[in-house]
Amino acid sequence: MNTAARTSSLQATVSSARPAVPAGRAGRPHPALGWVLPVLTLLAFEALVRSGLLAAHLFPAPSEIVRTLFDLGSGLASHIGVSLARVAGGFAIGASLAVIAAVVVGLDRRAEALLDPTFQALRAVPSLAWVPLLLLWLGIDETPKITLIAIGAFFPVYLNLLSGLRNVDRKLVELGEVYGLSRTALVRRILLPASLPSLYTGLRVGLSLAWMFLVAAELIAATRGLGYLLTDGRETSRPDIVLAAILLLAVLGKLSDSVLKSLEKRALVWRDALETRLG
Amino acid sequence: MTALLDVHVPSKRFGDRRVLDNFSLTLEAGEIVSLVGASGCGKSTLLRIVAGLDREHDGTVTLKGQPQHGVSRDIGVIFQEPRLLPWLTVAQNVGFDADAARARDPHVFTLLEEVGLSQVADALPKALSGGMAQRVAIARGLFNRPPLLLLDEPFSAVDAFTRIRLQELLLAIAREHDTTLLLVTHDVDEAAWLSDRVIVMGGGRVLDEVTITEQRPRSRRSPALTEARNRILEILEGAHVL
Repeated sequence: MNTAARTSSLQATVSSARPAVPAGRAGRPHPALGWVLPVLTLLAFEALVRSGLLAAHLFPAPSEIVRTLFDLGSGLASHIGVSLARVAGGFAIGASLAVIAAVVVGLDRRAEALLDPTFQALRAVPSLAWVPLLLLWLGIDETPKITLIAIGAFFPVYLNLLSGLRNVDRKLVELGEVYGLSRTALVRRILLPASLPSLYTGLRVGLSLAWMFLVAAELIAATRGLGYLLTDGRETSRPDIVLAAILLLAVLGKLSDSVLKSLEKRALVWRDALETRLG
Repeated sequence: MTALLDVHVPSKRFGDRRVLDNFSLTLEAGEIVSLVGASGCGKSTLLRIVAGLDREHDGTVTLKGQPQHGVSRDIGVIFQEPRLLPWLTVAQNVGFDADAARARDPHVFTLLEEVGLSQVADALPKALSGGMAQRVAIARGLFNRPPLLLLDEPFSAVDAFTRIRLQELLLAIAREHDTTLLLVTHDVDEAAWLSDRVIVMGGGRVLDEVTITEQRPRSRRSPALTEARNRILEILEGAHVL
């Protein structure tokens, strides 16, 4: 019997296969839902300050903070720009080195025995402990700040990707063997794509740590940036400036994470997990 | 005329356990041969040795007169699970050996048409049912036009109706591509219906061999197949495997 004739009966089964996306239950919650909590908090704060229940010189009202943001004007844009550039640079360097380190350690037991204990020990060092050393070694310009942020971004990316590589289904690796893939081809075509979910988890944690380490870097020896604004606000007894800087850190942290999250969503459409099923 | 495949493994051990014991197998081109036996009888190990995935043995594998040392494009492998790469489309999975650049290869689409899946060429594996995914795996196994296709319990994870359809598809494709099949299975009915020869294994050795002369297309209810199946069960019972 020829194969073409067979396929006609097989095609019928295709339509009965389960659909790519199951029908949702009650649809997706409205994106504005996330705004409810922050907006209510700000309104409550405003009301408490205006009614005099909170001392205005210690707890500036949200409207006051907004005014401060406007007063800072173009200076503010420069503070934001400097901080963003530091985070972007440090994160890019730290994450790239982490990917290389994870692949090397993940594929070679000897490299793991050699490097991993050191990485684990360095990971335990608190961010602020690096600051004096980096200042001594690298001076007070951009280099120590970007280095510190890179250190912060390195470990989450390294640890997550390493665990992702180690958990790649052995059966997929064997498939690569059947096709005689070289070590590099195995990494590029099977191990890295299969570890992509873990890599994204690491990148998102790494990015949030990059913002934390940015503040550590800018609290000391900086003349610009959001961390500098925090110090400046404290030294000049301006809680409105401190709160404005905290607000900006929250907004920028959230925005940068959203960018990464949307990249993740696009890169991982193939995943057959609850995350993709929930839409 | 030389045989398509010649395998001889004097001994293969996993630690103290001997999984293959003076095992020999010869396949002529175009044959469909099944290896049946209980779990742990060494049949999957043998398949891995032929595939070149297990090289820790003292035996020889000869394909078309050439000694094999490792994996070969002339040997396709289909596993128990489809093992599709979830991040690649159906077409990219079929053309995996040619890398992504050649996933648009017309050959990929011909293969997908043969397994009845050309309309889901751009779908991701997560959208496929188990039977569909295994058909993609069959198409992938045939991509390099291998003269020999190894199948390790390829239909054990699908339901009975899908299994029958997949067996028919496999047979049709093997005939069309002139592919020799070496199939490992637990399913005595499957072995009897598909094969020209059924090799019954136990304790790492060939217990006996049953030749099935019934003409194709075969009826699953044919007395000759029932007889062959009973003979296979008899051999297994005789060896106290069942």
